[in-house]
Amino acid sequence: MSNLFINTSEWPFYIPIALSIFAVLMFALSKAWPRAWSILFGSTLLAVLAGTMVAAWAGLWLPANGASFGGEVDLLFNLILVLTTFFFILTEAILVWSLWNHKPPEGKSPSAIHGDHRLELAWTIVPALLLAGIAVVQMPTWARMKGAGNESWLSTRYEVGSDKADLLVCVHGRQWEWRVRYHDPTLPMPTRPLDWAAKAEPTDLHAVNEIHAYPGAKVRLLLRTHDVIHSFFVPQLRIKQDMLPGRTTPAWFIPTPADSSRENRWEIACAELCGGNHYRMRGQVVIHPDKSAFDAWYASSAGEQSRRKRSEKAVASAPKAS
Amino acid sequence: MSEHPTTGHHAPTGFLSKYVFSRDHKVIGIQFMFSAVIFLLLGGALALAVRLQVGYPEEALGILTKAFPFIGSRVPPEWGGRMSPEFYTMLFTMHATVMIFFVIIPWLTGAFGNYLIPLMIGAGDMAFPTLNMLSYWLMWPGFICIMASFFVDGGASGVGWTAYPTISSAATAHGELASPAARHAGAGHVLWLVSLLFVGVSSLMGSVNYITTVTHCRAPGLSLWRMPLTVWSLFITAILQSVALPPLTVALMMQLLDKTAGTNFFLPPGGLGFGNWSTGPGGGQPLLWQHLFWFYSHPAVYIMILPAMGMVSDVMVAFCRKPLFGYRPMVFSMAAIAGLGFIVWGHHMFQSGMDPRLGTGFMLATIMIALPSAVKTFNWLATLWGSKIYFSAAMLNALGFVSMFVIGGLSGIFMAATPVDVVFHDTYFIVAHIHYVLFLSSLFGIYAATYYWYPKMFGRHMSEGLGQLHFALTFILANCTFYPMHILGIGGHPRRYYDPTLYEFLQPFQPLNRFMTVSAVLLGLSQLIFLANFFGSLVFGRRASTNPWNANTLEWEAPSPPPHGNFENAPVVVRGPYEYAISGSTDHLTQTASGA
Ligand code: HEM
Ligand SMILES: [Cu+2]
Ligand SMILES: [Cu+2]
Repeated sequence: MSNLFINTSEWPFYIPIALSIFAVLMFALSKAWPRAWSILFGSTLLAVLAGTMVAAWAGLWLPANGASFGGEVDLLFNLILVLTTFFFILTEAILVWSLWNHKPPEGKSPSAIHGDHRLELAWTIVPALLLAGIAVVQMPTWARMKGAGNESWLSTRYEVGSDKADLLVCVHGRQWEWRVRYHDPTLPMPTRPLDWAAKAEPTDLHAVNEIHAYPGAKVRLLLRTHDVIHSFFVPQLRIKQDMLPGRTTPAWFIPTPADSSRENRWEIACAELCGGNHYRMRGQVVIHPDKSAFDAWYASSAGEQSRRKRSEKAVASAPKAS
Repeated sequence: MSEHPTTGHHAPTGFLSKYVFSRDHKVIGIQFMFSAVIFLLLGGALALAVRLQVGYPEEALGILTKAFPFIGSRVPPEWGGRMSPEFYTMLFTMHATVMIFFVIIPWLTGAFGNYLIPLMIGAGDMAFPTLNMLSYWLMWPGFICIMASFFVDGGASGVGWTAYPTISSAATAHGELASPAARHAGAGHVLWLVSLLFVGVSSLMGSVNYITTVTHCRAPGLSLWRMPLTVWSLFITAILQSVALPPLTVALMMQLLDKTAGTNFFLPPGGLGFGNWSTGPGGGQPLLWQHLFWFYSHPAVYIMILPAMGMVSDVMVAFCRKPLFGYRPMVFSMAAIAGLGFIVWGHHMFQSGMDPRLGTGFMLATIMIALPSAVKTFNWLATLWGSKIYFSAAMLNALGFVSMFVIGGLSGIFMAATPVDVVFHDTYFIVAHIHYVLFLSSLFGIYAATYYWYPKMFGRHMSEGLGQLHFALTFILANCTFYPMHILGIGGHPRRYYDPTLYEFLQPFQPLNRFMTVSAVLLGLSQLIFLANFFGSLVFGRRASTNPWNANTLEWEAPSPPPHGNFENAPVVVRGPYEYAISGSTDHLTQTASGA
């Protein structure tokens, strides 16, 4: 089989085959012993539960959080996880139990019951309250993520104004890269950031596919695109925001890496289909260990940019050698 | 009702008018069913190619050409031994399109809607038989366009089944179909739009017909509150379709005009730039499409589940010999799903740039829509509780539906919660969700209904043994194929990625990707059991009696298969459909039987 390019001796290959054999066995067994169906359902559902726990334990889970609001997001995720797991176990257990007891005790027949008002009320009202509760507890975090919470440095509700941000960064998605532009952090913030996002200033620093910041920096992002919709996604920052042609969409984050003694590099992925190379819009968020490391990086990049500009100018104005 | 307009028309005699251009709802239903089965094969093949690419990004093309040598000579040399990423976008776009618009919706509403509604309400045919015939034959321009799109320059559409502008709508110049935004957004995508327009109009005609038939053609005594849940569900679905399809039709027209006639509904004022070339200024809004599309497509997901819910309920009672628990709550919750379904579309747009305040409202509505789904689940479980279960192939698929719909519904809550959806939106978590509700719920519902009503439709039984074997394999392998996608999504694995191994944070997930691919191939092979059973039983199946399952509803009073006009004597209904386990000696009472 190796000429089929597939490694046949690893678990991803032989477990599905083993499980198919298990399915056939259960089917064969069910002829003589109908409870085999209950086993088929029960074991599959248990495997789903166990598989999830193994994955979480093996680290195949939420990427390590590195954003100031990420802790809240993860808490909300865990809250929903606990509640849904409870209802999952409850309902599936009742189902599997009914299959196990697939017929009433000897001499009895099923009762001709058509319903029960009190039960209906109970299983409408209790989930209704729980669900409404789930919805309500999301709201403060959502508002905060979108800039309408208690982040005093963000100037206006849901919109972009003159924030007291440390870094103002315009990210321009295009097929297939991220063009990054920093407002010089040593200059005062622009009073009209949307105008700045639309039109570069000579003092801006330009970069491609890399966004630099430092722990605790208040970063204001202005997201743009001029071709198709892209979506700026950094799993560790718990950020995903589409970029719409014709609009500037705001976002923000404050990086809080677990270990800030070293440089953290987190991948940026595009999360909205944007053509054949959609999967190749890979960028990186680089979190320097501290502000001084960031400042050093900024100064050297800015210096390099102006040197490059000067030499380009020199080339352009040099007399043509023809 | 006695003035029913169609019981009088004569049975057709010619081959063409009997089997091809038939106005008989049963023939039309079977036509829908056969086309859906054929498209299931195509959609499945596309899915396996998608899975191969994600599981084995380097080797997929090699595996395909080894397994199917005839492909080898057709691979364009410029691909350089790997599938091209553009081709991959086409594969998943067409997979979703085929499965949603050519398999699930036509099978549920076209096939079962047509076949079952008149029979289950005791009518001789639909209210408008000619409109009914037209609704099937309008599928054909759709079939032809979608198949032709594979062969035009640039290939079939590759912009996702959601076809978001501007990648889908960007146009070069009048009359030129090639797209500046993507290779697979040219002529093939124009055909995609035209195809969906036809399919939509077809569904619209069907839904008008179903609504009228249910409101006007019911047998004497069959009050609304005596209708079986199958009829209720198809009725509610038809209402959903008739309200949701016009906006989709409008949106498709708008995109078609943007592509071909130089309008700019979706082109922003500043225009677009691709490399050094730019479109002129526009005056539209890319986000407008998303609102129009989801205003249809969210109700559409319920169009794809409600009929399955109704049919599963009827299959379940027939094989557990106990009345349905909570008939009216079941109907009310379907109505609630349908109603709420119109105010939740924004949950697909939480990260789109839509005002986040709207997101808050859509979140609340979306989370509350889980409530009627929960109520239905509890009622199904109460129906099963203390019943006498016969593990037939139909029943097993119905049980599969209930157990798996729980997972699909619960995963919906994560994504409805806006902050959590920031992580999960457009990752494999969504892909897991849609397959739990569409494959492991809708398709199990379709299988259950097919095993159950096949004897009525064709006068023969499908093989029980093959059916049960098919279920055992499908149940386990579908979970292997789709459950790990939740884990990928939690890890942040974006959907629609040609090669995830480029990303460091995704590399640990690659063994799971291979696991899902191997499972998917086995799952695909297991569906051949169903196909063999389906077609083989047409010839070799055991002959069916009039009421083989001892069920109560009206279709089981007509001969198997029913003749033109359905009933020898027009049925008169005296009770509801769920009178089972009456007393020691009476097991069940049909809707027309006198007594007790
Ligand atoms: C308990 C009920 C449900 C809830 C709360 C729910 C919630 C959601 C949410 C919030 C999304 C958007 C996720 C995102 O893009 O970020 C979604 C996507 C989706 N849902 Fe559901 N859902 C439910 C039931 C269903 C059912 C019954 C179906 C179909 C039979 C369905 C089919 C889909 C599909 C096809 C998508 C993805 C569309 C796409 O982006 O390609 N859902 N659901
Ligand atoms: Cu992109
Ligand atoms: Cu939806």
